[in-house]
Amino acid sequence: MIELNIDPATPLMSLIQEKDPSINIYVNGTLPSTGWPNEFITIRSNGGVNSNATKRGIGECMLSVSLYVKLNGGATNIVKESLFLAKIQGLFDTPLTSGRFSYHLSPYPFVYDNKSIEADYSTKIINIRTFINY
Amino acid sequence: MGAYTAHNLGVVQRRMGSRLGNSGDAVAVEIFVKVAQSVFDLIDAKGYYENDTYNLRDSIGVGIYESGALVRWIDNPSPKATASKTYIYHGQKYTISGRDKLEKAINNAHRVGMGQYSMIIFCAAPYGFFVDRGLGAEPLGSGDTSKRGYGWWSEGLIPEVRRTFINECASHGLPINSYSYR
Repeated sequence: MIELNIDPATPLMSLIQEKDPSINIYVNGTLPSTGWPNEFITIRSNGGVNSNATKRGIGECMLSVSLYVKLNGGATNIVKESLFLAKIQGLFDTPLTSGRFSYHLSPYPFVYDNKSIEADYSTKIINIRTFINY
Repeated sequence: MGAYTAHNLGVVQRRMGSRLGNSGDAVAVEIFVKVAQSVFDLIDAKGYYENDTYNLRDSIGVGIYESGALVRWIDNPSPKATASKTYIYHGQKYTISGRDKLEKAINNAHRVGMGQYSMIIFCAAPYGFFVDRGLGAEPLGSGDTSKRGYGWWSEGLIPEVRRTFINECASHGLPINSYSYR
């Protein structure tokens, strides 16, 4: 069975940082309360892990990836947001796998796209479907 | 191709179609998004309660879920509260934080009994319940029951949202018995 403490978020963080070590990423609620960089990503589980098998099979879960970009004089910094999004999109040009995890953009990826989540930052949230070979 | 292989291929393709998104999925999300947006229109249009600071208004957010995972988060498109969005309640300072609300929607939504698609309306201001029960007050928590808004949630907003949901289903030609609400 799938371990109860399985963590698909940390391997995704490593994959993103392999492509671009400059991106600040916080997984599973490790975002500090102050001192945030101008751009950063948070990754956390969104919903439970599902599987139709009890011993060996394919499990599935959703990860929510939130991209935060500092506002520019109160307005969304569209240029930086686009560059940031392009980096994420580029990850999925080739199969994105790590060990037993396989990551895919959700068919309807955008959960949220606005600037009222956190003061001084715009936010885009995308869902990543994650398959687990166990 | 053998009959069983063809059959199995058909099953796989149908299942992939249902998982990867089809017109049914799009319609379900479209209906919920419209109903979610109506929540904010209703709050402003109906005057269920009288706003003092707009913090209660801005503390409302709507989550739309597919198979227990948040797929849309909708905040009030025109927040009105003061920039700090802080208030004192029972001597304790609270902040209306969009990120806190969102994290509750992602982490703590009550997923047991969720259908394939579900919508949850969140009210993050802790005094929302007290106002609904006629216990709200100004200053908050003082015991003054004159705070306007008795039944704003249970007898005002939620029944209206249900009616909007039923009407949206009907406008898409969907029989309401295909859906449930509580």
